[in-house]
Amino acid sequence: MNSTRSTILNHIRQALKRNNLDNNTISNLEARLAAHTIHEQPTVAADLTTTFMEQLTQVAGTVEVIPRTTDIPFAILTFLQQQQLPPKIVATARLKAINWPPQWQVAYRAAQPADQVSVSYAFAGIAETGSLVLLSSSNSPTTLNFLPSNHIVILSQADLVAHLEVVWSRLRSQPLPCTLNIITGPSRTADIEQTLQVGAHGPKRLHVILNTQKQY
Amino acid sequence: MKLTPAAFKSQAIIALKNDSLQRALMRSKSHFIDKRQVAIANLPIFARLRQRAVEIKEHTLAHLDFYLEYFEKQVHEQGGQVHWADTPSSACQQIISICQAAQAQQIIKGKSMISEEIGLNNALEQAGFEVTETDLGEYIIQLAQESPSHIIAPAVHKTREEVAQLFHQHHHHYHFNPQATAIPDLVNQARQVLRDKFLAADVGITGANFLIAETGSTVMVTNEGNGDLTRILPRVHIIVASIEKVVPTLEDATTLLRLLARSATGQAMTAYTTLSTGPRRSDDLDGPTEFHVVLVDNGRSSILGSEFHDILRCIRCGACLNHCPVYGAVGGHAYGWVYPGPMGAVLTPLLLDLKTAIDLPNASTLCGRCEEVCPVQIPLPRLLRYHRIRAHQAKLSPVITRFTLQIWAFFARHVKLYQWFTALNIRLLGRLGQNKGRFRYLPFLGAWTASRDMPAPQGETFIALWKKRQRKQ
Ligand code: SF4
Repeated sequence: MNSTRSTILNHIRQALKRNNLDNNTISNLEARLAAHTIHEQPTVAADLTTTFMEQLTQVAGTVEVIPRTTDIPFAILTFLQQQQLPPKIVATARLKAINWPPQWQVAYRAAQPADQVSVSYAFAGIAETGSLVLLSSSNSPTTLNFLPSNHIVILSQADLVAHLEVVWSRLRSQPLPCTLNIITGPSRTADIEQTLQVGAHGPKRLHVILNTQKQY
Repeated sequence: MKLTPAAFKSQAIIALKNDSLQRALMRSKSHFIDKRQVAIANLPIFARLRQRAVEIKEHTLAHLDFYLEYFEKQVHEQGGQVHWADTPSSACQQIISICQAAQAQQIIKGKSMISEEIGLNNALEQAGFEVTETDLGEYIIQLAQESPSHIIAPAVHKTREEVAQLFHQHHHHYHFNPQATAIPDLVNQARQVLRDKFLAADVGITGANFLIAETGSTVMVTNEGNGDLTRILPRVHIIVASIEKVVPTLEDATTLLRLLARSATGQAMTAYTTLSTGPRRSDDLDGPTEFHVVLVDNGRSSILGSEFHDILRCIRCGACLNHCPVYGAVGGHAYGWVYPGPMGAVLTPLLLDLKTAIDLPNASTLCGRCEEVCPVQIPLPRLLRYHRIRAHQAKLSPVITRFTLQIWAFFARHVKLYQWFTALNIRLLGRLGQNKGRFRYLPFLGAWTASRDMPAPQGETFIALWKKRQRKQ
């Protein structure tokens, strides 16, 4: 196997008509990696919230803006009622502090096949494309983002950024998660007759609760 | 997968007569072209992004050894493993070994063109594993035992009735409504059936759209979410990627992502873009416990630096297929292998051999639309021409073609003779076609005149007219 590795690398060097790179070139390449320059970016209107909401709606996501963190359970309830779903959710452990109404069933764990509704926290929202960025962790298992048919994501307005590149630079100061999901609308397919159908393998509904409270 | 690019001509004729295929092609053509058009109109910096994308790709290719080694080091640091494969069989063998070591039985797959290229499904099945494709389009063609006919819409040639028929055949123990032919019902059926497969699988295999050297991550874009379930539910995640998929940084990948979805489906961003970095962390509640990346060369290192080098920039968006009049007329299967359309006509002769695939680069009018839409500015018509030149030099083109070309070349090098001969011909043809003004049939050109008439020449050659005018002045 190691010999295959060197065969391939040697082929590449032969094709590029050179030997191993000299130290000078290597340090240039390392400098390019370290600089991780941001390239051209589309302009995004200054009002990130409006842009984000517009983009999200365009990709069939829904959004509710709430003024306070304490409104989270009510916003979830509204969604569940609209979709005629029972108050039974699987959620990120970050919501443990919330005082849920007594009859609710709230589990904090990875998602299981029978779960219908999940609630996660977004690391960031991207105004350019209406995307949500979610990081896997013990608090935020990735199955929450894909197994249940209804995915509710809580996003703090403070975490709204214009472009994806902001997320990359924020991530460089912490270890990368196992899985990073950039989610732009609910699951979809156009594989049968190019007809768009929402809800292929992932969630059929993506609902964002946008929390505008400053301190929480 | 059966290799039939040598039968392009007969396959194309069959495709042209296949009504349901023709309807499917018509539908998909306008779908993809219009959507891309709108997406690009909404992105004023598109041209500059393209330029940048070329620069990123060329920079990476020029230092491919460095970035691959760097990528490998980062994957190791994140707790993953990297495997190198120079041939399809070595890639398949290494994947089989990983599956065997994991004592796997059931394998699920996300859509991956490289796995089609190396014939992975077949190899895994031969080795005794049960393999299920999970991308809806791939699943449909797996049931139909066909190959993909488009690199981003594998089942684009199938009608809903055909899909309903297939599902009815294969899903009978689920007791779905046998009459269901509505698209939402069909999608739902697949969702339910494949859910069970996802949950039971031991190994998940996906492709990668990009490999990030900086972080050792792999990037995968999908719309259905099947790739993500394939990553997170099974114990083992294997990523198969060809070596030219590597890019230096996350910012570089972001520029390519801005072009990819727009060029492919006209979306600004696909529903799911996923960065996979190593196996699950010690306190994670889900995710794979093993993370393997299989780097496949299969001929790429010989394309590097050759006259076909530019094709290595390809990000597999499918725009060149969608805009190709030949692909639009005959569909993907006529091309006889994994990659159809203009990019396929360039790649197939390189990855198989020119002799088998000689008809593919010839099946082009070189109209140039593919190059116009390619987000990484690959000069596809030029590369097709290089194949033709090679074929001519290797005497792979028909004797009669080469003979005719030789005669033409002789005249082209003797200008006086050329002018005299064309003038003679024009006079002769003009007189012969005097009555009708056109020819319905010409000797040796039967294929050409079968679908159109040749207008009879009027008057004189251009050169003769030109000279006359000069004299008058
Ligand atoms: S050759 Fe260009 S247009 Fe065709 S699939 Fe590749 S990147 Fe897309």
